Amino acid sequence: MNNKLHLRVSRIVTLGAIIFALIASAISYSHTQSVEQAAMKKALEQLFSTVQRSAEIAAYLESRDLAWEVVESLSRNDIISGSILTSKGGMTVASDEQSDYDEVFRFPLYGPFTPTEQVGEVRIQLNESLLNTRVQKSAFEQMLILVIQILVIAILILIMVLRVLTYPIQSIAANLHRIVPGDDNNLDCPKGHRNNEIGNLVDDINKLLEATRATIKQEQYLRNRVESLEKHFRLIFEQASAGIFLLDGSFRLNSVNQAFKDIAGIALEERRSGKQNIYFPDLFYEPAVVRNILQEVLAAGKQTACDLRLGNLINGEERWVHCLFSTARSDSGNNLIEGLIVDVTERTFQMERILFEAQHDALTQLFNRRAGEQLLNIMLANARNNQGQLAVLLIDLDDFKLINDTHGHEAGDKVLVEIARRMQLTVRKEDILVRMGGDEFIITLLIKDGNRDEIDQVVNKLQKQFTAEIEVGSDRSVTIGASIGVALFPQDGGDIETLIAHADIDMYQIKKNRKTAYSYLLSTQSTE
Amino acid sequence: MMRYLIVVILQILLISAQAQAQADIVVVVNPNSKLTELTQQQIIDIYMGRTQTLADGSKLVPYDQPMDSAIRVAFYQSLTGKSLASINAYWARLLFTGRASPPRQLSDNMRLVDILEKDLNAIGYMDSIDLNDRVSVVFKITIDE
Repeated sequence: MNNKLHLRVSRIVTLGAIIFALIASAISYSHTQSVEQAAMKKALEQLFSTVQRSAEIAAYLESRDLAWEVVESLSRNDIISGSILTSKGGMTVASDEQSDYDEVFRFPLYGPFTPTEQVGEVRIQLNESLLNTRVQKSAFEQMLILVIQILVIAILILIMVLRVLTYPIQSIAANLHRIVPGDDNNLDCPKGHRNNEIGNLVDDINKLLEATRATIKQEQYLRNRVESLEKHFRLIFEQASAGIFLLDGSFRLNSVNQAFKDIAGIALEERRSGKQNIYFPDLFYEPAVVRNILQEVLAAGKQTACDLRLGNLINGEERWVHCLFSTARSDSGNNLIEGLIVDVTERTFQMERILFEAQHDALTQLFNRRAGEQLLNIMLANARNNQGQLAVLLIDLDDFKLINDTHGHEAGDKVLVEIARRMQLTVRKEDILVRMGGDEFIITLLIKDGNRDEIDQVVNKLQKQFTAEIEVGSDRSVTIGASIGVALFPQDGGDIETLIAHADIDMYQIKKNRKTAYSYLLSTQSTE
Repeated sequence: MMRYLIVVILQILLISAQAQAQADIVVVVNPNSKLTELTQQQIIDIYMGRTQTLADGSKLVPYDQPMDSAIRVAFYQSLTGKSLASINAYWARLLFTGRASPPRQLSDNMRLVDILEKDLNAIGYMDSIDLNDRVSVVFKITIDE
C-alpha cells in the first residue's frame, strides 16, 4: 500500500504544478522584463518631461549652468545611471565621464520659441542593474504567488481526492475485506456517494456478492446431496455381503469392499506382497485362466459369470468363488472391469460330492456302471478318432458268494473294498476302473498296436493282487481269485455292448476252465 | 435685400482689415547701424537672450516696451506665439544662470527713438504708426488679428 491513491494523485499534481510553475515563471520573467522596461521607459519619459523645458532652454541658450542643472537633476533618479545634454552649438554636458551608453534613450530638444528648430539632444542611460533587480524582484514575487497558488490548488486537489475518492474507496475496500463469501452482509454505500460512480460500484459489488451467495448456497445444497448419496452408496458398497471390485485395464484392483477382502483373503495377500494394486488373476489358483476370461470380457464387453478357485487356502481350505464380470467405462474413458464375487466353496463342494456320489460306487469309490459306461463311450469315441486301440477287461471274483455266506456281508464288503483298492494301485491313471455291480468290474486300457503281451502283463499283475490274503476281521483272512475276460477294440467289437459281451464270453470261458483247474487244485490239496 | 446685406458686411470686413494693417509692429534700429534686415528667427534669438553679439563682436542691446503695454504683449505674442506671462517665466528661470539677461525695459518717460539715436547697438520695436526718419526698420511684424 506504499503507492496510495491520493499520494499518487498528489505526486502527479505536484509534479505537473512544478513543471507548470517553471514554464509560467520563464514566460512571466520575460514578460515582466518587457513590462518593467516599458514602465521604466515611461517613467523616464515622465522624468524627462519635468526637465524638458529647462533642457530646451539650456540647449537654446548654450547655457552650461542650466544644462548641468538638468543633467544633474536627471542623474539624481535611481532609474538613470547617467545622462548627456548636447546642443547644436557644440556644448556637451555629461553627468559623468562615461561617454558612450548602450541602453540609451534619446530625447531631441527643440527651441522654446522655435519648435521647428532642433537645438540639441538629451541622451539618458537607464540604470541597467536597477532594471534587472526590479525585473527579478517582480518576477520572483509573481513566481512566489504562482507557487503559492499552485501549492494551494495541489493541496485542495489532494484533499478533494482524499475525501471524494480515496476515503470512500478505502472504506469500501475495508468493508469488502471483512465480508466472508456466502454470509448475508452487504456493502454500505459511503455517505453522499449514492448517485455517483462509487454508488454504482457499491451496487455492482453487492449484486456480485448476492450472486456469489446464491451460487454458494446452491453448491452447498448439491454438496450435501452428493455427500448423503455417497454415504448411502458407500454403505451399500461396504456392507454388501458380496465382494465388489473394480479393475483397471491391466487387471489390477482399483478398489474393493470389505466383503471382497474377506472372501478373497486379500488382507493376507496385501500383507504378503506389500503393494496396493494387486494383479487380480494372482488371487486365483489358475491365474492364466482368469486372465483369459478377463481379456475376453474386455474384448467382447459382455457380462460373464463363472466359478473360479482362489489361490489362497483360507483356514487351510480350498475356496471357490462365483464371479460376475462386466465392463465399465471410467470418467476418463478407460475401459474398466467391475465385478462381484460370492463365496461358493460350500456349494461347490456339495456339488462335487453329489457329482461324485452320482458317478461313483458308494462302497468302493470306483466309477459306477452308469458313469463307467459314459466314460467308456468317451474313450471309445477318442480311440475311434485317433485310431487307438483299447482293451476291455471284465473281472469277476470267483466264489465271492461263498465269502458272503461264510464270513458275512461285512466281510464281503471289506473284500470288495480291498480288491478295488488293489486294482486301483495296479492300473494307470488314464485307465478306467468301473464297478459294474456285485463282484463284477471293468477295466478299460489304452493299448498300443494290439499287443497281447501287454494285456497279459496287466492281467497277471491283477491276478497277483487278488491272490494275496485279505483281512476280513480280527485274525481272519481270506483269499479270493478272479476271472478276467478280455475284449479288444476294434478287433472284437465297435461298441460297448459288443465289447462287454465279448469279454463276458471270454471270462466265462476262463472261469469254467479255472473252476476245473481250481477244483482240481482243491482236490489235489485235499488229497495231500 | 439679402444680396445688399452681404455686400455691406463684406465692405465692413475690408475696411477693418485695412485699419489693422496700419497697426503693425516694426523692429527698428539706428539708421546708421550695420543691421539692415533681420529674420524673425534672428529677432527671437536676440530678444530671448540667445544672440547677444553680432558677428563683428559688437554687443546688441535690445529694448522692451513697458511691462504691461499692449504692444509688448502683441510683440511677443506674434513673434513667439507665447504669452507675456510665459516669456516672463522664461526669464525668471534664467535669473541665476548669468548666461543671459532680459532686454532692457523702457521707462515711461524714455522714448525709444532717443535711445536708438544715441546707441548704434540698440534695437527696439514700436507701432508702425509711430515710425519716423530717425529709425530704420529691420523687420516688420504683421498683426493678423
